[in-house]
Amino acid sequence: MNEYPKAVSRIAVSYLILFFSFKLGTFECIPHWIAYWMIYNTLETIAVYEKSVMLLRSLTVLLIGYELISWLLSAFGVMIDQSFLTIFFLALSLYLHYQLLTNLADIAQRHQCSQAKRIRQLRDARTLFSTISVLPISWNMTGMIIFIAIGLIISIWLMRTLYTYSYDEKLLVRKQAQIARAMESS
Amino acid sequence: MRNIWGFLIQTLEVSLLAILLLILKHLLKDKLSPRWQYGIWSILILSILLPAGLFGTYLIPLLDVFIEAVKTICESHLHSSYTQAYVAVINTSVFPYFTSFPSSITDVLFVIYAAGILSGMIKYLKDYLSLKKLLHKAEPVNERVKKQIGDVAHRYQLSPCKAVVVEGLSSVFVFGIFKPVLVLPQEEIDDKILLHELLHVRYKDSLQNVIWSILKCLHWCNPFLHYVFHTISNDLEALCDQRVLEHIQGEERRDYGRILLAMTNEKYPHAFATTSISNGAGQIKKRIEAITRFKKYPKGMGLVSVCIGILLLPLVLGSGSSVTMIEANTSDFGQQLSLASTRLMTMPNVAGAIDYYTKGLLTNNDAYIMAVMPSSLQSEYLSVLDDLPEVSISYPNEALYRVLNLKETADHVIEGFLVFTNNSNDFITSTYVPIKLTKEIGWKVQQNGKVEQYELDRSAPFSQIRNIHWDAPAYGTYHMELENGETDISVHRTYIVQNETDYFNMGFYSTKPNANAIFERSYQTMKIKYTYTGDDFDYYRIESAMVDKADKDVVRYPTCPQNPCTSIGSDGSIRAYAIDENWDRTIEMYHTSDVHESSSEIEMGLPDIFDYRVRINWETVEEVILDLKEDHYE
Repeated sequence: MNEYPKAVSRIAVSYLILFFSFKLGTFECIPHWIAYWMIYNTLETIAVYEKSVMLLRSLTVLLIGYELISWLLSAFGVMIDQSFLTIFFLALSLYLHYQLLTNLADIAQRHQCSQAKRIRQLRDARTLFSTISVLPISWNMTGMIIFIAIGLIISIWLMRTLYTYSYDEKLLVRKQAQIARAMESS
Repeated sequence: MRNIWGFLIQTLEVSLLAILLLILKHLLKDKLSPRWQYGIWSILILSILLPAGLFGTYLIPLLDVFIEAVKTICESHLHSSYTQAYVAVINTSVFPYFTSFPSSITDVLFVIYAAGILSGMIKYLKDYLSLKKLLHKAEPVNERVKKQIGDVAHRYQLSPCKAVVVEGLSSVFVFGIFKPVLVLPQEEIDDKILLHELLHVRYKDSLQNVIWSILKCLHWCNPFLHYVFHTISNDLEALCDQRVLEHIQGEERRDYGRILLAMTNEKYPHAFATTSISNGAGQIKKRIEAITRFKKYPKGMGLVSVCIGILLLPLVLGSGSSVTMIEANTSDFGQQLSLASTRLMTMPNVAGAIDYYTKGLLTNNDAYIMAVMPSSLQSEYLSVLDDLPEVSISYPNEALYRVLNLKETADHVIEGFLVFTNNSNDFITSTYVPIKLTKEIGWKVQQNGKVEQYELDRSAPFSQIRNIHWDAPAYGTYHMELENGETDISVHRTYIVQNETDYFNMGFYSTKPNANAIFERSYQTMKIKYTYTGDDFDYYRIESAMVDKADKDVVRYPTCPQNPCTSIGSDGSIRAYAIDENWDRTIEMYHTSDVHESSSEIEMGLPDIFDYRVRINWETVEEVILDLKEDHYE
């Protein structure tokens, strides 16, 4: 059974994890390294259609390591003030998400799925949002609420788009299977 | 940059940033285009041209502290002209400059460094002029080659340039910045090589090489940065390859690879203000590998490239946290590290500096005192620490301590008092420590005179207005000769520094200093003593009022509706007497005004202008406007 649609769904869930944060004191209940672990596990499946996605493996491993260590340290209340490391890994994650979504959009386009353009647009919006969110802008309350709302909309919209894309891929797989069976029987 | 230590900090910061960029480039080498791989070096340019620590932060703060500690250990035995052992090194420029002749080994090293920059620049200039002279004598290319260059330029929509041929030359290169010249060997040249060189001309790569060469001079003694600049130069060539490949198609790309392969055994020219297609066998191999994985990078990669560049900018500006104090350990070097960390701390606010000094006195913490010690006292810090007053408090009713009568006495110099209050059954005793604050990079604090103690009798009426000791030094005293008398006014200004409550210590105030503390409120208390010299009466009904005139067009004086009355109003104080002829002809009254808005400045909006009035038997005998700022009344 073609695992590609499932892989896309998993990526959708990973974006949900990356946007939201559920903390109990200093303990992050659903840490970001889980999201990157999910992404890592989908790369081989996606590589069936887009080989270049395997270039993201090393970056994903690095990000899993970084997020895991940060999560463990913050769970024990240890805060490390090394902002240059944070910036460095932010740059890596920015690239990773951009390239991953580009790869998915390319595959969608080749499979003539309607979500290709939307994925690219949301990819760009997410990149801009992530960049602006780390700039030292002092937001007033209204500005902050609007900004967070925009981020929420982008994340939910991206998730929804990836889910509908995964559904379309599932239908495509079924259709291909039907055609294959019909050809065999004829 | 005034000394060798400033250069050391600068070159280490640039090196660290270069390492981070190299790691990032390596991670993304097959993911982002050669344009990005070269473009990311623009962040390094910013780092080289901006003084390290310009915004008060460094990539790694401890590195700065470490160098400061090493500097102090070395310089405390030398008598350098360019460096003071106990003054933190702050770079205000990336270019070296001298204030006097060298007088120590570290001064001489700095002179050698500056001489190295100069000789590097002179060498580049000499090479440039020699090559220019040589090429001036070279023969221009023949018509066939000229036509070939013109055809290539026309085909790929580039501008042709002047070309000369040099005998014995092994490779093609471009020379010159503003009027570039294509320098060719005598053999036939492939169109793709010409395309490569014309693209160098189009994108002014010679000028970029000149800029990199000049920046390399600034760090001529850092071998790691030599490697980095070599990498930058190779990235520029790889970018030119990318541009060539974008212009040609199919089999031509393979031909281009073969052309590069043929250059692996050739020597390559590498001179100032030149660019060359050949840059060494090792690099040629890498360039061929890049050609094999060539692709036209998809649209939109520019967006993520720019965003990554923006994210990395804080690395240039120093995103590390500002220096925090290192607790001293028993080793000598540990002590020096702790002292270095205190010297590098900067107090942006007057209140923060005062908080550090005061809590250093209260907790006997030398590091807190050192953090705000003026640089002029650093060399004798041990005797300064020995001479600190001993203070204690037992009456922190409104604050752990109070700051009184802060006044700017000169440009960036503020004087005032720290007041610590102790309570006994009969007296309130306050210890006044005179302080002086001076602005260096941040605010510094030192004791400014003898410590005095003052007592307040708890039983004396009206003696405890806001716990002010009226015999202690005031913010200002004013004497006014008026129409029917004279008045003496003593003004005291009190500042309360923001302080957290330590809930683990029975709700007492925290003794941990806060560098960013501000004044959370302040109040002004005045004692006004009026002596009446006017007409005699059998009977005196006296009213006296002092009203803050700020933002008031109409001043309303509180009145005393009936005899006898004595009252103190909230907006302007009034004291009214009904007295017979045995009055001693003096009136003593008090006025206080509060500012509840916090501020980092000593100017907190305390009122300066007052209306003062005295009425005797319903007749106004005195009415003046007093301006404390101008020390003037009318």
